[in-house]
This record gives sequence, structure tokens and C-alpha cells, in this order.
Amino acid sequence: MPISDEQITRLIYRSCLRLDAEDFDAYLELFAPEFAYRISNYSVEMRKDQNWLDVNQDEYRALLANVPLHSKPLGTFARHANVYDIERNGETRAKVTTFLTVYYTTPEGGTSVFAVGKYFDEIDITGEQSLIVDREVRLDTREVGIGSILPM
Amino acid sequence: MPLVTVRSPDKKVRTFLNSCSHRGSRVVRYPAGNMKHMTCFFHLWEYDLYGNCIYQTRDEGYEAHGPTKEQAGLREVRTDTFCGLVFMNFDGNAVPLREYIGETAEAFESIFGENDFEIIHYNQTHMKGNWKAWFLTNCDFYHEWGHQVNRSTNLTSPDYHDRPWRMNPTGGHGYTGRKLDNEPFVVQYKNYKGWKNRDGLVLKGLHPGELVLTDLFPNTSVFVRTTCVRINHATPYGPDHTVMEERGLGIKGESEEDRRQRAKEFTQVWGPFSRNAAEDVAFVEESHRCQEFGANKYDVLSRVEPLGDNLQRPQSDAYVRLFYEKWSELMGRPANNPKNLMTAAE
Repeated sequence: MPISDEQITRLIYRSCLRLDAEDFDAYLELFAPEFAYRISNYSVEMRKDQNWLDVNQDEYRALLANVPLHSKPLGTFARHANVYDIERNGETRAKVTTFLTVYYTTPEGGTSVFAVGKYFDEIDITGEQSLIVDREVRLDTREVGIGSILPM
Repeated sequence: MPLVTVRSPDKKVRTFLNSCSHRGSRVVRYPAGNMKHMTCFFHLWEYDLYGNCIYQTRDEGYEAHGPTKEQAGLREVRTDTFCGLVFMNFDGNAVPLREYIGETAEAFESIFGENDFEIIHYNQTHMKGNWKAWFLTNCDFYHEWGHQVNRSTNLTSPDYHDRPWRMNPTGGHGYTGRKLDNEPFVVQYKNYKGWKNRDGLVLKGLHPGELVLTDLFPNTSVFVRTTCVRINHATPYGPDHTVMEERGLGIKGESEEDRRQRAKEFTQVWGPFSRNAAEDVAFVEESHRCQEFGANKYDVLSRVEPLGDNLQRPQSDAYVRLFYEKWSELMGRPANNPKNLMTAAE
């Protein structure tokens, strides 16, 4: 039975919820065995695109495994996603565009917008479950304060 | 202070206060670009790339009382270049740039001479903290204990402590690079899970894994990590508001694949989603919380770690103390009691 748009949408939303919860094992289950992940933006200063994080599947898995060893922000991130478009490329791939807002809540309870951007995802739709094979987090926001060792 | 830096038709790099002589609007309002002249969007006054005012809208209105175009140029700020880097100084009486940098230049002059760089990364961060606190994170190797990356890739090396601080008391600068036997200090990137040693794309003049850091008083650090360079610059917007800029350098004209790899290795350690820089910002902001209201009035800067005669190991506070000595000299007040002296002067 072909993967439906609803299943693809749910995949994107689950990726947000699981990353919000910092449940990295469950989050990585949503990705194909081989995938790529980038956080990118257009630098007005350089007048070129740039990647602020650029990893393959092994590097990304290690990055998440290393998070507990680091001084990560004491607050929490919440990702608000809205799937704008699903474009199918035959019966194997779908390209998904998702609007993304990331909020940061401090341990004291104050919340602010951390970043705004889009997910540009390529989804494998050949199996029983859809899986992310490529995710580009394209940020409009380029001033992200303290930054984050957690991906977006 | 809004500034605009241009390359004038005579190829000289010049900097001006980016403020229209008429009503003070910024003349150039975009971070980068190309232009033959600069036009203020408010009343359309126009300036050439030497800072001369070349057009006043309905200039006959100024015939009675001025100012004339000749009187209305942009104020120029002293600017010079070294190794392709642009430096500005509001003090027109400062010593020439090359003399100011002095012998400290040797750490990166050869690297910049052998490699043709271009910018491959840019970000800026507004942080709650004093600019000196940020700059000193680049001078204080002792803080590397706070970074998982440094704990795993640097501090495990037996020769980590064998690099001396080479300090320039005249200018207040310092650098660490080669060990006393002129052998490089090599970072073991493979000791951080998921990373590999930096054996490829090595910049000319460096060994694989080599690390060199130069601190230029008062606010600029040049890091070289084998495959890429980081120019780190702190600008004070206020006593507790600092803008930190990070520029990454790669090799001009190389393949897109190589450029991407250098940028990738740059952002492993630096940039807002890196493993180190976000932690550094957190260090500064956390310290500021306690300094802001007087919970912490003094930092402890007393570490001494001799390395032979007249040299100090990287985790000595020797360079931090030199920084504050130079700051005290230029500010005319001791760094350990700046406010009381101000009161006495008043």
C-alpha cells in the first residue's frame, strides 16, 4: 500500500516531537540507514550559501551520542512545524517542504523564538514506513544567540 | 559605531563613519555589496568611495549658510591591512599597524603568505557579557577543561603543555604554536567520537593536525586548525553586551567539494551549532550573571606554569595578566580597581 501524504506529514511531526524530547534513538529511527543532514543559510555578509552543520549518518549518530558529554543549554527547545508541500518523484521519493519555528524556553520559564526556517526533506517512500534520507534545515534566522549543540 | 569599509578606485581600503553628514542616516544599510558611489536613501546625498560628498539634492539651498559639498564628506577612520585582514583604529595617533603587531605576526604571517584565503563561514552572536570576558576565552587555555572536544582531542596529548605562550609585552599580543623544539602540537581529532584526524586538505606551512593561536590585543584572535582558519572578533556594544563575529577562511578557488569539507571541519569546532563555540558563549554569559550584580568582583588570574626560563605553558594565566596590564596602561586605571580610580579622577 503506497505511503500516504498523511503518513509523510506524521513522519515530519514525529521528528520534531522526538527531537524536542531529546529521545535521540527514537528520532534516528525516522531516518534511512544512510542519510545526510545539514543546517544551512544564505550569508548576506558573504553573499553565498553556507552550512553551519554538515554531517552524514555516522557523524550525526555520533553527534547525538556525544550530546550528554557536553554543556548543553539548560532550557528546552520546542519545534513548531507546518508541512507546506509534498511533491512526489515517482514511487520512491517525496520532497517535503515544512515551515519551522524553534522556540527556546529557559529553566526559569521564559520563552523566545530561537530560529525560523524550513525543513527541506527528501523522503524514501518505498517501504512500509517513510524514512528521511536527506534533511536540510534552511534557516532564515542567522543570529541564534548562544547557539546550540542540539540540532534543529 | 556604524562603519562602512570600501575599496576605493585607487585600490586602497578605507573606512568611514557610516553616517550621512546631513541627518545622520546610515549611508550604506546592507552588510556587503558593490557600488560606485554611496547614496543616502533619506535625502539622496551622495558620496564617492573616497568619502567625498559629490551630490547634495537642491544644493542651491546651502549657498547662503553651507555646508558645501566640500565641507560635507564622511569622516574617515584610520584603516590599514595586514595579511589581507583589515584593521581599523579610532586613534589617529596610534603607531602604524605593522609596528603594533610586531613579532607576534610571525605565527600567522607565513601561513597567510603561503595560502590564498577566502571567507567560507560567517556568523555573529550577541551575548550578555563583557567583550573582555569573551576575548579572554581565547587566551585562557585552562578553560579547555570545560570543553568535551578539548578534553578528548587536546588534553589527552602528552605534549599539550609543552607549547609556550610567546608574548609581546609592547603590544599586549600573544601566540602559541610550535613547541620549544619547533615540532608542532598535533590535535588528535579522532579521539572525539565521530571525527577523523585532519590529514587531508592541510594548509600550506602546517603539519597535519597542527594548531596555532594568535591573540591580537585587544579583541581579535586568529586560530589555525590544520585545514581552516577562524578570525574571531569581539565588539563591545555596551559594558554587558558584546557582539562576537566568527569568520572562517578556506582556500580561494578550490573545488566545491574541498570548500565544503573545510567548512564542515570549521563548523565541527566553531560556529553556532558547533561542539565548542556555543559552550564558550555559555561560559561568558554564566560568568556575567555573577559579575553583573557583584557576586563575583574579581577573577582569579594567578596560574603560573613555567616552561623553562621566562616562558609559560599554555594553561598559565600569564597572557591574561599581560592583557590586563596593557588594558590598565591604555586606560590609565588599574584593572583590579577601575571604578574607584574613576571616582578619584572626577
